[in-house]
Amino acid sequence: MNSFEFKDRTLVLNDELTINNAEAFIKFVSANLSDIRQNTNFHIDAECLKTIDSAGVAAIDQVIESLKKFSIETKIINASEKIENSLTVFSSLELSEKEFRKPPKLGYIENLGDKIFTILNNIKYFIYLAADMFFWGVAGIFSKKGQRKGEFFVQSNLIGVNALPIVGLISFLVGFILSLQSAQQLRSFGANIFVVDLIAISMTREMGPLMTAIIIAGRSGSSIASEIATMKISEEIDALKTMGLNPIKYVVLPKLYAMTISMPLLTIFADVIGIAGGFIIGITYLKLSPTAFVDRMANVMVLKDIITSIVKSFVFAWLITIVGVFFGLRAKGGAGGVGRSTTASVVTAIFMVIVADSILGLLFY
Amino acid sequence: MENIIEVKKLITEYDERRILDGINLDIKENEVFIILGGSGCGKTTLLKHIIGLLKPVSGSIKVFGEEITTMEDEDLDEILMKCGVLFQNGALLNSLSVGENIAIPLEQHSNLDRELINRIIETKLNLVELANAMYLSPAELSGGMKKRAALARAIALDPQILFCDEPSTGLDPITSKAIDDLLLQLKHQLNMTIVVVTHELASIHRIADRIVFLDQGKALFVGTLKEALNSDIKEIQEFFTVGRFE
Repeated sequence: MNSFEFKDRTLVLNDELTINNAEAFIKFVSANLSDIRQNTNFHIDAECLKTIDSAGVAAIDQVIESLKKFSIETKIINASEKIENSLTVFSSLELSEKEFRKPPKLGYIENLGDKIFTILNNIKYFIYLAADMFFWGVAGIFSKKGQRKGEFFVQSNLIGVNALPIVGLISFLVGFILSLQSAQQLRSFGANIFVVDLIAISMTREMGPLMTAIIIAGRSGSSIASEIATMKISEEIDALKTMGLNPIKYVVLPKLYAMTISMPLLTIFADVIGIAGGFIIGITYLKLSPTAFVDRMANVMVLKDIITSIVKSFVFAWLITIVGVFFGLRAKGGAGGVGRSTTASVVTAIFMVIVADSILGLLFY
Repeated sequence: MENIIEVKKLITEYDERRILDGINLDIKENEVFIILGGSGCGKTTLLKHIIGLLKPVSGSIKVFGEEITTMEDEDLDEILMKCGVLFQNGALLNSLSVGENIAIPLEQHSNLDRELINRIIETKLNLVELANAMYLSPAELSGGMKKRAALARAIALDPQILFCDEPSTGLDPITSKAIDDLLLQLKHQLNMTIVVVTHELASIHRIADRIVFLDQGKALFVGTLKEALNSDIKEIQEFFTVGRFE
């Protein structure tokens, strides 16, 4: 037995009209549209219909409304009380008068203007935030009021100590591969000893701070952003404010201090390990004596190289923290918002680190 | 009336702490069944067991006559398709609009056309009196609106059993009554069975058919509202009198 059939200009529904066959019902009606249009009245016989759900009612209503456009009146006949109930509860016939309309879409120019204003606003907010963090960062050294006790050590441990293995491994590999790649060229000129200049200067001035910053941006920058974003979304930041606590002081300062301390230390560590990587290539592949390597290094490396390293690492530490906090505090919506602000914070932090690296590289050339 | 849910000797533990300690209860078809009790007595845990989100340490739970504690996930999905759940905090997906949230089950479990799905969404939103929220994001809704939107999602597939975890907590009395009226409408006109976790006295008086009263992991009382009001168990008397103002 078919679920629906035509008998004497009447559509007979059998058994059920549910989510499983609602689509088929609509197709059946449009297939028989020419028959239906011969008359101005259309009857749906629901006598044998046992089950109907909201999808079925919606399908019937859709048919009723589309037939109305051909000025055909549809009537449902012989419906049992149960079916009648469902038809009234789920009726969608008078809904079109209610507001379901989509919010108007913005035009191209409006969209562009909207975007520009958002960017300008964000820049303004970023500068305010950076100023705020700088102010409290300095003021917080002298007054410990409103800061969480012990949090600085926890954060230093998380950001600094726990990052040692990965920073060490990566800078060792970078130093190792950098000197290995250049060793071939140096050897063909008989300039083996210059690998010391190369590795000492490139590690301290460039690779040490940069690689550390990129690792920390991915590791700690993202965790700062996601932690603060979650706090923002679950109203924890607001809760702190109502308790008379400044979120910058209470949440951000320990992280900022931990970053400020950890980054230079990690960077120096990365410099040393990276040079050690070069050292291994020097004494094995290039057959330098260890004493010659160390002597040469003492001659070529100047204080300026190390100062460059440290200054860069301070700047990167602040950039990563400010970017992380900025995107954390700007987070909106739920779980998706946290994800978006974390991604944005890592991408922006790495981008800004590289821009700052170029500028500082020129300044200290 | 037939039993649609049967719970027998249900025992559950979190980290060796016993939450439910031998619960026995039956829920009959087409009734409003209230799970009652003080905070932390295991109401939500009991609900999560019945919808198969948690597995008990021992005991049996039958939904539609089928044992769900030992069931494979695919079979459990079949059962859950016939159940709608309203979570305590709504649990709407924040990355989607309200309309899209309601569309999820319809899109995933049917081959319906988008036009028809939209019509169903509109009906459901209209039932919970949230017609204007279809294109809003859940983050833009107030607490009460979120709950109503979540209720619309719970009834998207016309479930036979509707589970509600604190549907009216945190709502103003008028909205709370509107939700109760809707639950009663679903019960009377669509023959749904409704299981509600709540401790709102006004709401209980309006909708309850039968009640289970949980205390320290045990079902202290199972019976009709009238029996509960006349009960001589101290905890229940206290529960019903403390909240009332003279």
